[in-house]
Amino acid sequence: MGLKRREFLRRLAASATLVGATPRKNPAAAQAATEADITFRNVAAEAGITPLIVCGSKDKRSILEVNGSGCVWFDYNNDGYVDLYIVNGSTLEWMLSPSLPGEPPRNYLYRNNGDGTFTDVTLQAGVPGKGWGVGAVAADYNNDGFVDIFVYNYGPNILYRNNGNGTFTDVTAKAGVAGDNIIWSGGAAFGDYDNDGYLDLYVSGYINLDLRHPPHLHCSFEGVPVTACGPLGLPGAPDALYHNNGDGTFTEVTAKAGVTDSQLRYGFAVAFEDIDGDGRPDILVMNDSVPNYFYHNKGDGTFEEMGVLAGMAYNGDGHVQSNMGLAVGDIDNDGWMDLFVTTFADDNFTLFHNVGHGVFDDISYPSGIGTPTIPFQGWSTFFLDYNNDGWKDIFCVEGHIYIEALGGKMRAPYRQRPQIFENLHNRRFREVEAELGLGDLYIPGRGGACCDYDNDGDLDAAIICIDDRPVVLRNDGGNRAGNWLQVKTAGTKSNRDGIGALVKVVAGDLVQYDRVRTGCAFYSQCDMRLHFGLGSHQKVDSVEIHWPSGHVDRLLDLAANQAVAVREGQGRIASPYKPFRKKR
Amino acid sequence: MLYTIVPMRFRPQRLGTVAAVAVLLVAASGRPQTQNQGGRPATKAGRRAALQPSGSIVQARQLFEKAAVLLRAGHYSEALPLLRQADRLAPDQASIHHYLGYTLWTLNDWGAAKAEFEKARQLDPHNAYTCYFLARIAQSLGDPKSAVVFYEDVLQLGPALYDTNKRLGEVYLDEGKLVQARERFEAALAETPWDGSLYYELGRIDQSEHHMAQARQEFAASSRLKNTDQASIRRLLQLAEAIHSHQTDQVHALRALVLNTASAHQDPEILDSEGVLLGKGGLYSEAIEPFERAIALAPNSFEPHFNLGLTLLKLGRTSEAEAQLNRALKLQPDSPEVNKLLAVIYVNQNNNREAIKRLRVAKRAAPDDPRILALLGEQYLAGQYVANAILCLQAAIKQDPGNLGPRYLLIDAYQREDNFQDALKAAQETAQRFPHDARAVYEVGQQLANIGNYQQARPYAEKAISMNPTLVEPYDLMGDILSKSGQYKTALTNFRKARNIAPTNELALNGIAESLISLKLLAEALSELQHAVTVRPDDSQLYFDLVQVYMRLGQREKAVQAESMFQKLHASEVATRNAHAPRSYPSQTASNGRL
Repeated sequence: MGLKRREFLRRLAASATLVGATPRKNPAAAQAATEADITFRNVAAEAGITPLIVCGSKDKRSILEVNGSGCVWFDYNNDGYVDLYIVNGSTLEWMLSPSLPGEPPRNYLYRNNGDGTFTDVTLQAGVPGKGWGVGAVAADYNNDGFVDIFVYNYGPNILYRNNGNGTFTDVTAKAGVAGDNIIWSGGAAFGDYDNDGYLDLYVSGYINLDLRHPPHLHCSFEGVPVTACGPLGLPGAPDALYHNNGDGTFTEVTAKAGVTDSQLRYGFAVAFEDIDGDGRPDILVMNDSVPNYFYHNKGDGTFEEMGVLAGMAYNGDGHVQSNMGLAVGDIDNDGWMDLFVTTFADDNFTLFHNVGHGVFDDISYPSGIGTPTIPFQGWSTFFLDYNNDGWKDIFCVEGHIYIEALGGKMRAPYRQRPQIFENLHNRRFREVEAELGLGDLYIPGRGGACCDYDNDGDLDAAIICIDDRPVVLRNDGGNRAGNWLQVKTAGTKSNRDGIGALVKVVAGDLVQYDRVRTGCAFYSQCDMRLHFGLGSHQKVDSVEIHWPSGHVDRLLDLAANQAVAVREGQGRIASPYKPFRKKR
Repeated sequence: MLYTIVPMRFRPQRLGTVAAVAVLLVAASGRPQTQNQGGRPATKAGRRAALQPSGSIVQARQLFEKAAVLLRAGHYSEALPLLRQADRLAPDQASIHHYLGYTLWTLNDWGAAKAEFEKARQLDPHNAYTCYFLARIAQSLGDPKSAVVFYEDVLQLGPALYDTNKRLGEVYLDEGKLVQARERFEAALAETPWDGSLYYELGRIDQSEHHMAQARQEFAASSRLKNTDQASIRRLLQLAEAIHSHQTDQVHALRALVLNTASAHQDPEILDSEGVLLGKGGLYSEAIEPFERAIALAPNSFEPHFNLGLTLLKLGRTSEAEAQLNRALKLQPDSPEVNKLLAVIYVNQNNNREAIKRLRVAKRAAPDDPRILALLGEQYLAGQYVANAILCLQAAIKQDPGNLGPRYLLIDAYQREDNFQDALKAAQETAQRFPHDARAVYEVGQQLANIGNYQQARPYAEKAISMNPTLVEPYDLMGDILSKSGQYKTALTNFRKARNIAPTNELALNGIAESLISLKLLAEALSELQHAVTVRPDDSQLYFDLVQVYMRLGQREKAVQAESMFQKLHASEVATRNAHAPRSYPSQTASNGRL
């Protein structure tokens, strides 16, 4: 029997190394040698994560019914197994007539049992949400050691405080973060913009859509008339920045801080990120069909908007895009955080390379990402080093927005497969999802986030599908393809989660940077634990944690393939993460 | 602009059958002269024949020349064996087959003639004469479909031969295709103004379309022409010939003669015809007087009003033309021609709404007129009624597949609704039909690029450049393709070529700046941009690029200034775009789609 192509390549690569023919690093060969073993497998059903996600009617008469919802990975009970919170939408009927008989759609908190299964604990935890859920972000806003959750909606938003006993309390009213003037929120993130040790909250407003008087718009896409037109022409919803007062309450400081969304742009993904390396978290807001915001933190409690100056308000051609999801990460390990943005169909997703000090080059096409993404509608996105080679790859959740795409009337289908782009180490990427077992996974994706939920050293992902059941993609083989290190931060002077901390990991000639952050993605949030692939490196020379407070912790000579936890000022502490038990 | 699609509709009168016979005689004597004779054979087969050694060819040519002499003398039967002999010696000579066909045709052996003409056409598809005779044979054999194809080919290949327009009109009329028939008869009238039978045929069309008043006018004209004194007609014919041969002195003398004939004083048709002849000869100022006199004699006659309006338009006296054409419109509110001309005036005045109104009336009267459809499609597009434009342009192309204008407009329309797949299909169809048109080839590449298939687009851009190195768009496309693959240096070269051809070309100026930025040649980029903004001061994109350069040079203050300009210009562009968002006609529903 002849060799399979991959096996042949693997042997070829191995023999090349033996004879010393290619002393330089050959990413393609390395990839061929490792990726054969990596697959993503949808384990949602066996994990017990099977709720049917609701988002309006099947015929999608309104824009509210087409964007779907998201999810958050976070360990709500500090048991060392990361849990999954899934936000659910609703229907126009439920929204207009809440007294309809039956149970309205609700959100889901799935407790990770540590054996590959999850248990729905939503009701006992008290986090069912209310109304039409959109997305969520999780962080320990009150520094009590338990991660809380902020759910944003069409309608008032909800802050659930984690009581530390497996239950939550709705503290929205006390906290003052309902966002009464934001009818439909599109994104949120926690971050400590004034470095006072308490996490502040930014919420982007999407549309102030009046369900009782829905707009009757007429538009077409690719020559096909569609019903759920885009946001242009509709009243935008304002953004809001809430300053954490440190006493369980927040104060809206939007205008004072200079982040007033004066043009009421249609906001989606949000991130706090120190883009220009000045030690202060800036704010990024991706907007749909209008320019993005980049609020530069001036360090005095105020911001200045400089999206155009930074070169990320528009794409590199100066054209506005319908930006949806956002990934923030360092694609070339140069210490500057780059941005990846998903966009509407018939437009390329955009990779902004940070050339230093907060100026971006659009390298979508030269990177190899531009062309293959054009036909598809992107939603959530995140960087994940799925093959543990120490270079961040890209995961994109996709699905057509227009139900009219069913039946092949449009260029791309309604159900689309996620796209994964492997980092080739030279600011170039190649599309690999088919090689990873996802060639046939056609889904109506929307939200999505990553997490090593099975604590096995490789990154998995969850995808929330509109009008369908979630997908949980378990990474099988990533931990064999390369070594890894995970870093969990615990702030003391800085906020408890260490959000905003920059982590530098050095393993031989491999130097990586990442930051603890919330939000990003689309309606979703990845696990806050940082994951670093190490390739063939068996040990890590050093880990530096640059805390928001300015303090730096250093760990030296760490073995690979472990999760380490670091407390600010105290160094390494016991890791909360535990290996999976055998399935019960 | 499709201004040129509006026909000159001068409608002079018949000059009698003598002239028609003369035309046929001229045609007969000219028949053996194929268009390619003496020139390079047009087909591969022809080229092969041309490369053969001379022996048999020389002999064949001698036989052919002998036969031609016999043919000119009318000795067809004697010419036939010589031509057959020549054919055996040089079977790939299109002209021999053509002559054979013609000889057999005159001997009424249509079947054999057809076979020879078909061989000739295969060897030389660009010979309009061969097509004409194939059409005649098809018409005689009762094969109207083939006749139409061949006659249309004649028109495609150059100016109408002989009575092609009239014959094609007859075939269309027999087929019930009234719009096309009318168009051909009117074209024939412009060629043979003395042919009263054309008025008769037009009257029949009017009758079929229930335009009874017009039909009566056409029949009356036909009848009057029959009774017109032959002296006037002969003088008009002489006038036509003098105009044609640019004999100015004679023109003036003949005009005096025409006007001095007794009937001219009373016959508006003669006066109108004179005006038409003068107009056709480009003597617009001189044409005004006869039209005005015709109008004075027959104030309710449509033609002189229309022709005067058209003449004034030709003279650039637009407001007078508009008034005159509105008078004509009152006489024939549904006239496609007058509505079309008024539409052209409104187009030039940027009065899109009135232009559409007039064209819609014209379309009602002539729903299949490809020129009206094309012009209306263009106006719908200008008014952002994209869906309406697409329907119109599709119909225009169906009616007149040989016209490139509506095809490009259709591609543009699809692009405007981001329907790049259909834009690509339309471009591919166009390129298939017009493989030698550089722009058609370029459009395929552009549409491939629009859907992100840059590598597939590249050969089209390259081919378009090689076909027409003066066309700017393929260079821009090539620059874009190369930029997308990170080949900034070669992209820069292409954008610079585009700028050399069109110094204010937006894409070229932006492309140059962006390539230089990508190459980190910031000082050069800055210099280029500083110049570019003087060339295109309202181009927001240039200021966007300036921002990027200043930021990379660390000149924050200047970047902020450039950003301010960018924001201002961009806001204005967005407002304009929103104001021109695609919409439906006539309901003015706003489109709030993601387009």
